[in-house]
Amino acid sequence: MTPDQMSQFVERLTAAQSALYGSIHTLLAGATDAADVLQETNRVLWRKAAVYDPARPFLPWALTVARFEVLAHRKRRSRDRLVFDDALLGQIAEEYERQSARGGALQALEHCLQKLPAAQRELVDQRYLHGESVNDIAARQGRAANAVSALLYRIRSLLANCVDHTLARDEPA
Amino acid sequence: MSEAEPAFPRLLQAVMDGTATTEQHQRLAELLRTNATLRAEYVQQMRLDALLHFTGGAVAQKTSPEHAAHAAAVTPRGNVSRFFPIRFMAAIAAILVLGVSVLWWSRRGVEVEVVRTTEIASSAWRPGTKVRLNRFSLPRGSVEFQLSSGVRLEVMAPAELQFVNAMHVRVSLGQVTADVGDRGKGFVVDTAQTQIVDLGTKFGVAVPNSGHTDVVVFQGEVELFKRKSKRQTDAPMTRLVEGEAVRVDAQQQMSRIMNVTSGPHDKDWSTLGSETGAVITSVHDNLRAPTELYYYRILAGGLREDAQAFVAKRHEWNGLDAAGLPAELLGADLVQTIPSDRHNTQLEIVVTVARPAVIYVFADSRTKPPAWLVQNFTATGALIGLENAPLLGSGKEVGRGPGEGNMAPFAVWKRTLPDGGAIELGPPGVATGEIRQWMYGIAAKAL
Repeated sequence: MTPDQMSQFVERLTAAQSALYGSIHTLLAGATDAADVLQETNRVLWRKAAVYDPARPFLPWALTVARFEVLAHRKRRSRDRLVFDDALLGQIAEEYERQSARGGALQALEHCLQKLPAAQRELVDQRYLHGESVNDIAARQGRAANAVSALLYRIRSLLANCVDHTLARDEPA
Repeated sequence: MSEAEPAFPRLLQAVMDGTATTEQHQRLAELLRTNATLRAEYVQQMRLDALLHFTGGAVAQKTSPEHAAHAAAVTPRGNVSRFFPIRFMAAIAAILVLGVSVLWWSRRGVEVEVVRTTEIASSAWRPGTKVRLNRFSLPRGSVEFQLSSGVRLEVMAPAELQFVNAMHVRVSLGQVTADVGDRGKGFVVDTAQTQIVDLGTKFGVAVPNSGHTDVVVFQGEVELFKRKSKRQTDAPMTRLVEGEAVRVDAQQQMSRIMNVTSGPHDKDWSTLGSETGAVITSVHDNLRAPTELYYYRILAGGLREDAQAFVAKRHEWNGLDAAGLPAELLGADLVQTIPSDRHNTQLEIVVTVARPAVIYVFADSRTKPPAWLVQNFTATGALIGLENAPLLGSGKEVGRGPGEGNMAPFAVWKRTLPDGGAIELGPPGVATGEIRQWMYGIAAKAL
């Protein structure tokens, strides 16, 4: 691998981090060890750098590696809670790849967050920037936790649609 | 939102928060297996949840994964070095291979400065380096950080932490010593078993693999809350003051930790009796009231001028005059005892040593020595000083070195245990008149 190829690989690997984490987070159904699996996925991808064909799209290849790492992780932790069976895992992985096929989601999300009304933006900050639990937010605002969950759900849907539209709009014709 | 499944948002939130029950996971799998629309919604929601976690709710180029990788290569002066691919790759390789894992999906919020490290060879972690951290994994060695709130954290491996913000960390594994300072009051440490809220202090949190949390207060006070409680409205489980330590188990039940061992550095404390080289292996007493949460701190080789005498208060052991402490005492293991035991007439303490040793007791010479001391120990004739230190808030400094400060004379008694083993000590002597006696001190030195 030439220095240029190595540099390109690192750039692609770095740019893929959010998508890889999202995939693992989704396939593990929010399990807290998603970070560990991402770390392991990075190690495997790094080891496979020499065999990666730069002419091929990077993200689908990396997502496949991540999926196998989720399976391996599940096997290692087989006594723990199993959320999805292999068939369902495959269906979810396909859906994830379909939804994340366009790169640049982080930049699009930046744009979409700026368009959120102030109250919704504040709720996103409380939940994701300050790491407050839904129950804590609900208690502080004097609202039911279900109502806060529903509002966050709606905001994520809005943001997801906004991200998709932004990426579709910016896609070369 | 799925109209067919109005409870889906709540179910998903539980999954995202990691609080979903087995039944909820089964329900989720069943819904996703049979309903393609819900499956697409699930992926959409989880993907956005991950992206938002990735960015902390505000995506900016400076917080992108590229920046986080760059952050691992900032110079000791805190300036981001010019981008070179080789250096960039080296930084990533260090993160991937050397095991110091700053996850790249760092939120924007938590900048920390590296103060000191041990056993971390990567140049990216030089003292003075500023990095942004979210989840932090330390497989070996130790790191001391300073947060923008002024809080200093010393992290001992193996450790897994999440930096929520400059006033809040989560510890899922490892040992953390927090020196909170004036600006950091209200600093929060979460673990799987409890939530610790600082009230202006220095305290330690240890989370081993065995599913409990140990909390040790070295200075000041902390409050412990149940893991899921609301701090604004719920009462704390307990409040710990300096010199107290508890273990919170998986059922959030608390028990007293009787011994905290320490090595030469503050961060080298342990509630698990880790090997420190100390000849004293344990100190136990007969305090059984549930409110008695004091520990004994065993400092390996810790007896020297200005050594803190008790687990609470700033009182110190010193030579009574410029000649200093007797040479035979220097470098002995020191047990910091519980100052309030000075009035406990029922006290029984058992000290155990691992090998042949001399046990020393420092007894307030202004009181009549108790019978157990006279019967089982020999008076050496030497006197040392207990410096009655001014209160922390008084603004007055503790005396430095031998003979400095407001000293009370303590007689040095000793007993040889040629085969090691345990020895029982009793209550302190009782003073008469105007004198307020102090609790005795304990030390030991290998033969």
